[in-house]
Amino acid sequence: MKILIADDSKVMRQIVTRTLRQAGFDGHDVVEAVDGADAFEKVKSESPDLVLSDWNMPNMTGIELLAQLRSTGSKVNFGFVTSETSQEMRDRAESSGALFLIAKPFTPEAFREALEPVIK
Amino acid sequence: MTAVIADEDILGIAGDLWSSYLGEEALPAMLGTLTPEISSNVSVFGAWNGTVVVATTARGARLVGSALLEIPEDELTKGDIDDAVGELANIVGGNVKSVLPGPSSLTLPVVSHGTVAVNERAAVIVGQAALEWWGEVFEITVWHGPASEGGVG
Repeated sequence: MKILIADDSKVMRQIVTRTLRQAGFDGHDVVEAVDGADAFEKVKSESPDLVLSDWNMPNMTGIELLAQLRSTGSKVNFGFVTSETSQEMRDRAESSGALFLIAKPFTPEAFREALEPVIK
Repeated sequence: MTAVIADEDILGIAGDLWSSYLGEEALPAMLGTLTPEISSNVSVFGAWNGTVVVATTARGARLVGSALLEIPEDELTKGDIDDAVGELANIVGGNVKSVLPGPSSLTLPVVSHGTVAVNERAAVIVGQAALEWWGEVFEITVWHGPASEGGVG
């Protein structure tokens, strides 16, 4: 599988990559995007199987990215990895078509629980 | 509306952050002992307006960068350190926001070298906690004030 990690923080992209490995999801191709606009382009050019996206990013937020992907016909599996942990944000994520919202700070167990149904 | 966030809630959020990402647990520390050398802040605006600030020493920031990126301190760039400290504020701020009245939005983190001045008329501290980790102090302050999207001015 190919997994696109979208986060404006290099530190956080690294932590997400490390946590994927700790959760047992190693051996997958990982592609990184530095903001929502970059992620939108990379969904088109890299055809990932799954997008793990931050919520608050410059040049297009995660929720704007998801809306733009869906409005242009992309059905890519999409989940949030974000410090936005309120029920209001969870509801917005779900109604926009996100499969899950993993709250920062997260553990490998949280990754396993959210990703096992998605990652083969 | 003034909402006060309990210091225990801030310590709980920070404790989860440290135990998840930084390996060694941080312990509660005395407030007021830190002379900040680097600070990061995020602002919340909407139904509740205010700013969350995470401050520490230069060494504390380097230790966080080294732990999060899993590289030696001498290989860190200034950008790495700012990124790491900014992410602390993002995570603490997002979790603080979730226990305050909503709906509201969170700004991207802003990192400052030295003390952050929260230049907001009538801004007041509504929650504060300090932690010690590897001998360095980290102070988290939640300011409530008439913030705008610009946050700290």
